[in-house]
Amino acid sequence: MSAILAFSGVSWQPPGRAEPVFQGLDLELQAGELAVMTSGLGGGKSSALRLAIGLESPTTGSVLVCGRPPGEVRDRIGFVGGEGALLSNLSLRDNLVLPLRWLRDPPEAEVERKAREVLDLFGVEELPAVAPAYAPTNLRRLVALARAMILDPALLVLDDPAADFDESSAEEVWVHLLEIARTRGLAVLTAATEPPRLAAARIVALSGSVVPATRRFSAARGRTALVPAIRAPIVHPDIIARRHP
Amino acid sequence: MSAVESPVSALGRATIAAASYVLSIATLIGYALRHLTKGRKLVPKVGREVLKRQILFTGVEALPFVGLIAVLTGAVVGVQAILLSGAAGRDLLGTLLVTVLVRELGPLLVAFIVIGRSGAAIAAELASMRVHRELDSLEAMGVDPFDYLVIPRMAGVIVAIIGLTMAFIATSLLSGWIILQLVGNTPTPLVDYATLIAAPLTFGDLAILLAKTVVPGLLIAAIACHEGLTAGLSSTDVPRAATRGVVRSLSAVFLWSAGVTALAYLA
Repeated sequence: MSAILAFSGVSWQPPGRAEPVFQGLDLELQAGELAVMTSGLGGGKSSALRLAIGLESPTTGSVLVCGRPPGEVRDRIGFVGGEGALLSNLSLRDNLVLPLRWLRDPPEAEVERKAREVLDLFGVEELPAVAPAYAPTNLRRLVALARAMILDPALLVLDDPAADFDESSAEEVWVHLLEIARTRGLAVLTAATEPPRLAAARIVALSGSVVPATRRFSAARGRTALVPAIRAPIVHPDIIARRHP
Repeated sequence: MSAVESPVSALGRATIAAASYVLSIATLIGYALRHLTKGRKLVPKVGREVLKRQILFTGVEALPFVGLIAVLTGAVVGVQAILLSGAAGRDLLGTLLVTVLVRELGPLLVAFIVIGRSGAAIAAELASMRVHRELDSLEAMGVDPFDYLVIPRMAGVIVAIIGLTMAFIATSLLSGWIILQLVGNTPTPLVDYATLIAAPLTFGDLAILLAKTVVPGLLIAAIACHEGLTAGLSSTDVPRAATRGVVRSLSAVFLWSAGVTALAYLA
């Protein structure tokens, strides 16, 4: 099965910086898998996400989504940045359906159906007719997630998706993301300062030095935990215990 | 080698920077014109909504203020025209009003109002979007920020500035007529006044009017978009982008307007 996302020997050195932030990054993500990039501040996790969505080009190596450069398959990628980045001059609903209207321009009934479908995914029943600034942070985050799903992407890229939630809600978010990845057959790449306690998640630790490219996924100089996704339980036993005492 | 830059070197550096900036704006305008000429069907419906909002904000919502300035300008210019043309007769009155209100002040004042209201707003809005990473978000969704943000704003500002200039000219001339009724020695019927105004107007005036509305509209929108899209990533860069947008737009519109006037009178 061909990978949905493939990093091959990727290094990233932003302009004006003497050394690469990371190098030798190899990662293949299949449908149904969730990988989490972790690093300290400035460790390159958000840059790795920008490479995955084609907003930056790798200094060396290649990044492919569905076998093609990410810039050529934008409609196969759903992305939520660190702040959610909803457009401040549109209502929540207009934000939600913007990529669908822009890229496919379907009839309004289809727009409504897709909006309902992705809102249901995240348990949002009703969207208040307000701009993002007047909505609660969690709702903004959920709308941004729903927007990222509205084009039925093959790859979902999320920058710290649980950042605005408390600890127990954050765990729910991670579990839910993995469920979405598996049920909808998409790959999820995320970045987080604190990695989730999900046994099924693949943790990619970025810390700035070289790791041999022969490892399946890695980056440099730091801890790299490899957790095979397919046979692992969907959630960490601790989380199961907490949800089903 | 002296640590202080020589005046010649500083002048050279400033000239290169200015030329580079002009080239950036020209490139932006050229790219936008190429898109605009592709036709309406290529602009998705959601882009047309942005265009409508821009026309509403820049054009319709500015009408009361433009109307007020037009009434006051028409009154002031009307009084001066009546005084100046007193001995020379009605023909000079018409020529004065057309020259000042239609050819010069109308387009220039409207451009200033659009710069103050919309140029600053566009630059600040886009800079704020950049600060909050909304532009990255758009690009990542496959929505080209240029097509979604710049093209509709340019088209909207052009349409609005043409409409506002027409409204300004009509209102200020009407205001001039009212002043003529109040201050003039003999009452002038509106039809006679219209004939008086129409007499000195030529097709050349129409060309001048178009040159002084369409191009300033393009310049204002292009400069505002450029300043917004190239702003820094700090929140303090937002007001800086707005200020730069206003100052540079004013300079560009003044230069353009003076150039068109000079060419028109030389021709």
